[in-house]
Amino acid sequence: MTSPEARTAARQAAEHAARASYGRLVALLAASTGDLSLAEDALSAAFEQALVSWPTGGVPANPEGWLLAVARNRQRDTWKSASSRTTRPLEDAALGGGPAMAALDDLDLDAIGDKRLELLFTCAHPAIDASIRTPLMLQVVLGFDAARIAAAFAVPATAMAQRLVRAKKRIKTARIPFTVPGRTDMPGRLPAVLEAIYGCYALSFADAPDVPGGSDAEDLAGEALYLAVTLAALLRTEPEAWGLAALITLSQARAPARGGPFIPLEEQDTSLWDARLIAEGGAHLRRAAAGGAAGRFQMEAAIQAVHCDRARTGRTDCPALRTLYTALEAVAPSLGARVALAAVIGSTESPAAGLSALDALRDLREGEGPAGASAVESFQPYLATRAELLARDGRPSEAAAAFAAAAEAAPQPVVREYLWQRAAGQWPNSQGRDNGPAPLPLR
Amino acid sequence: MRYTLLLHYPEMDAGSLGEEALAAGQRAFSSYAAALHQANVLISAEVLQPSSSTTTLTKSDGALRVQDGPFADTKEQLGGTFVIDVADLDAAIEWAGKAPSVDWGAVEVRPGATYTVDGAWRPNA
Repeated sequence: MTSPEARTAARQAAEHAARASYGRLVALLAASTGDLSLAEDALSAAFEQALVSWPTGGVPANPEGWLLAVARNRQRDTWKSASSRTTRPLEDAALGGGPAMAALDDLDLDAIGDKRLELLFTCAHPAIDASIRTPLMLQVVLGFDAARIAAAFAVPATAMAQRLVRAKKRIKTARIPFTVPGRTDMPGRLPAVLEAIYGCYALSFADAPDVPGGSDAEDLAGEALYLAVTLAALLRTEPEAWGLAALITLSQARAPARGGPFIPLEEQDTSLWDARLIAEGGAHLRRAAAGGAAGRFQMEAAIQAVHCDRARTGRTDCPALRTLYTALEAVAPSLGARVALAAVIGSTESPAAGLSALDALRDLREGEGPAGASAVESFQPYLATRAELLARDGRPSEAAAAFAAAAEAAPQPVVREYLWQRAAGQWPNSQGRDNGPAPLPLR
Repeated sequence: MRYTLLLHYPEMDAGSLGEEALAAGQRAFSSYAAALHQANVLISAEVLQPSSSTTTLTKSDGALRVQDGPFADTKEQLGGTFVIDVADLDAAIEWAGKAPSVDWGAVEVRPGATYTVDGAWRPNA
């Protein structure tokens, strides 16, 4: 007897298990074989079977255990048919018989340990091309399909699918291990994992659709937050892992102010910000700081914390921002940090001082060759910051041209729209503000 | 799991290299081989004669051509191989990083597909 209610309950249970434990189940299935594709196929077959059996037989007490057992059976069947062709011995003879269904409720995934951590390090292994690490994580840890990942990266779906298949084949053939690096190797291996998770978060901005709510971008941001916090919690005491968790948490705290037309950070209504996430982000940041030397993510998180603190104090502590951006520039020099520093100088000193800092940046890069200067001059945050500083320096015609150039270079339609309005001399969405700092390349 | 470490480096003759550097290189390779052996991971190793002494065979239109010189005439040449048997790529990378020639060339870590025992093919791992 399959009632619509039973079908709905079964689908919801399967969806919940898929979201909560996809990566864990893939990691458990692939750990013994090194074959991620096989694990994913077996798991998706198990989900299909769940949608057939659960509505009639009821949702099992331990849905994850059920899915794991069924997927393992699938995987074993594939081995058997493969072994009859190649006479390759079974990887694990102990898995010979099918698990009795009665034993399923005893299968405690938490006791086995969380293998997602291993999986994250496999996806960001140095032997995996850096550009495919984030897509790989999205697929094997979070269960995104190739078409969605391709859309997020703005590449054709078939090309993305091929690259993902190649990366997984490489993991299997070269036997890239599913292990967490030891203490000596950790410093060399952790940055790539953090970078890939950050890449997942950055993606939610790069292709942010115009329509707020229920978008892929929001999902990506949420999943990046989940991955960062999970990683930090599993590693317990890695300062930069907590730094990334804090950075994404604090940035996400401001997400409710992002829907709709673009509003610069300094003009956002702080009552829209998520106080719970601000508190959580602050706690993550304190855990990061407890670990010693401050790295790039920890400093970027501290910068976010300064912005979020406006919700409490009603003002932005610009001198603190200046200190933090100067420190960030020393630890992890980047064009973005230099431009942001110039914007803060424009607020703490004068718009003219900020413009000088921008000119100095362009001249510095020009000294490195013609490509250096053009990289600066085509960097959208540079153009937007320059426009804002020109406007505040009382140079309206130069500012108008600069806002137009910044608008041309803006990837997000809402930002483009805002900058075109500024180019036309309007101050959209503003309540007559005047002296606030320039909009940073953050939203 | 078997991996072959392929050592590529620019070829230097004994003259331009100098007696001392040559001897130092030989000592380094001796202790590297001894370390691999002691760790019980070394299957075989071979350092090759310079590519000036190599001969390449090709077949085109059914005719076998025997040519003087290497298959690819590049600045860096394959100079030696180590076949090792270790748990996974991380272990292989760790050994590859200790190869003396990593100071003056590239070391490629290539997983094996099959190998022979008594003339019969066997799958790797």
